[in-house]
Amino acid sequence: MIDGAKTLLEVRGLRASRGGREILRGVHLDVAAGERVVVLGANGSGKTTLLRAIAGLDAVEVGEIRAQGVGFVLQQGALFPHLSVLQNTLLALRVVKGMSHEDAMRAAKAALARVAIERFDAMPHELSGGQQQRVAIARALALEPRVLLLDEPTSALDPAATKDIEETLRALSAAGIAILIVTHDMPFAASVATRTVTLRDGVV
Amino acid sequence: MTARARLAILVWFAALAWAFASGIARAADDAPVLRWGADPSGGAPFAFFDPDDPDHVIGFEVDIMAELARRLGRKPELVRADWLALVDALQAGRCDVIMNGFEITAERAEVARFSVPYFRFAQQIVVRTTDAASAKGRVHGLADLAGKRVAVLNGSQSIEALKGAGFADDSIVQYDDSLAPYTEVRLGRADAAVAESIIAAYYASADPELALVPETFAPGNYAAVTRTADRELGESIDRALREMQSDGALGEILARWGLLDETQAELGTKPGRPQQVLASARGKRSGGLDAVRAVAPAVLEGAGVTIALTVIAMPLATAAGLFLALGRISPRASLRRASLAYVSVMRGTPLLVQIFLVYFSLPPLGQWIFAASPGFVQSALALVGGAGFLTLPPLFVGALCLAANYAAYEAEVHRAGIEAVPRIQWDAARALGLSRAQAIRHVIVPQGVRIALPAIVNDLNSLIKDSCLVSVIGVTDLLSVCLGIGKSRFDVPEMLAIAAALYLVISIAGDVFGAWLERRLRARGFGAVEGHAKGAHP
Repeated sequence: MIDGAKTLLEVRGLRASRGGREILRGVHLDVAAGERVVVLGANGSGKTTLLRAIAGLDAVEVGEIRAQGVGFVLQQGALFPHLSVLQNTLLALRVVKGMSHEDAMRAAKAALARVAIERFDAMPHELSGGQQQRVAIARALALEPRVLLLDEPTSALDPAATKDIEETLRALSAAGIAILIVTHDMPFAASVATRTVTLRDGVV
Repeated sequence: MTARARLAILVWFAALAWAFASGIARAADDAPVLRWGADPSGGAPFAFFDPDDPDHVIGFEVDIMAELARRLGRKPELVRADWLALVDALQAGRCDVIMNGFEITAERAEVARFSVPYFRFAQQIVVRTTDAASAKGRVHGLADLAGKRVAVLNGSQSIEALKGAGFADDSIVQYDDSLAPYTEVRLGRADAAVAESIIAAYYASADPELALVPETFAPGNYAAVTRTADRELGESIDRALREMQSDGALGEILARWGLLDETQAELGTKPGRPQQVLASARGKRSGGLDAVRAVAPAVLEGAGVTIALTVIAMPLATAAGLFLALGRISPRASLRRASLAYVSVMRGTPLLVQIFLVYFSLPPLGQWIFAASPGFVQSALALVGGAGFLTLPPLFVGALCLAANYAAYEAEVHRAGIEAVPRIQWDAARALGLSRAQAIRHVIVPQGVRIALPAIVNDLNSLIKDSCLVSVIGVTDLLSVCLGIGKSRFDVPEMLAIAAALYLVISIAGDVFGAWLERRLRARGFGAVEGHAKGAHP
């Protein structure tokens, strides 16, 4: 942990089960501003379960999660296929935040600029996997999260696209965002992480 | 919303308004209307489509009703309904009187009031000419038909006459239209046809392959039918008919149709001035190009009605089906149960029965609601027809019934579409902070509809053909028009082939529209759904 940096995400004694099997058995984890923490672990070790709990998609049964503004980039980006790049980024700003069209447009375009995407009107299926991933990051960034979660951000990406994602994430953490990444991609993990943790037997 | 979408919605509302207005345009006329019920597809010579101008309904009953209404100071207006449903139409207040070959029977006299009779008939046997001529198979009368298959018109008095003469149920074959028994005899599927002499004379006398057996039996009378409670109208109709019998007006009409035989005098019908027998009374018809020219306007109008039914019903069914589908997946158990119940009932009962029940139960329901309403509600309802505010035009009711029925099917199609949207799309929406309702509206439904579209287009195709069922409530759609014309022109197969060809054209147009819609939506990212079909988490 970087000395003096503010802790933006605190996970304390998190327990979770799926299908009757306890997957997380008391996870403790802190991520501070500017950190890029990579969670490693075998398939089924509970990495995705951890992210879903932090993102609030699954209710926490036992334990405590303290986080300030969480953005979650799901596997392969999970863009809305019927909406353009810009519409994907705008949706939550308009619908959830209730921003005016002008303000939302400004925020969405700023978020897309941070990930270097300019094809505002392209549909997701017209983009490469790496571009889709970056749009998904922008979609999360538009809501100005302090913590960004990414689930397998480089799966099915070529080395160049992986490099782009890494650059993007470095820039974001430099701007003070706490980043937590789940991945199988060892070279990427080694290259991007400021710190790695391993999830084994339901604990870190 | 794009300008084109707005235009489409405008056009849809215009079609709906037209369907609604289709049956109430008469209000402007001065003379009070006498609405009389008949089934023009029932065949000649009662009330049937003019073979040379099928836009018009002609027949000896049309002429009698015109004269009768004139004497009552009223304007006759034909209300069409399936013959077997005419009494329901009368009881539901959709017409005031029926004149359509209704025999006076004790059973019917219990539920409605019969006028004095206007025509006397008897049952007559028709056989193949070869059977009539050969010494071995000679048919002189009813006794010679013992053990043979006899074809009759469904619901007609012929059935009672045959049963009364000791015929077993399984030797009596019933058909839904008056032409079919004769076709069956000609084709050898029945040994004889028994029907009222008037029908036998019209259909069989022109056919060299068929022969009428001269002897008639089981005489009966046709009379007009009114509601029992409508005593005043019933009595004035009696007076007018008696007048017409004694001053020769009725005799004149019957003579014009070649129907004035000596038995009519038994009812007190005096002969009128000698008349030339109408060509249409003998089933004459034009041929070739003239025939096409004569038939085309009515057939195209029927096709227009079928298209209107589809254009009104399908968008409504698709929209209502979407809400039902959302009900089916709702977290609220009461909504889930209500949606499931609707879908089960509508899919589990015949559309034909639904149309019938709705059409005939709406008017009494309206009267009941009106009677039970407080004064201010009644004065508000007076603006939309008072106690008759639910007596809606058949085309409108038909379109709504089709929509209500298809909504149940579209509900399942939409549900399948919504459930096919990858789970991760829900997660992505919720991770962005969208509520369940927001996720459904902005993320799930737009994708679900795209997935469901091919199935919806498939149902559009089937609705086009199911729309013919609304003819039971008197909507003159493509099939009923073609059938009616076919019967009056003695050429049902030819007209059915024309109907089939036009259904094919309409249905192909529907498919082309559906393909265009799918192409457009695919261009808007539909193809990418598959790319995200992978599950999100273990």
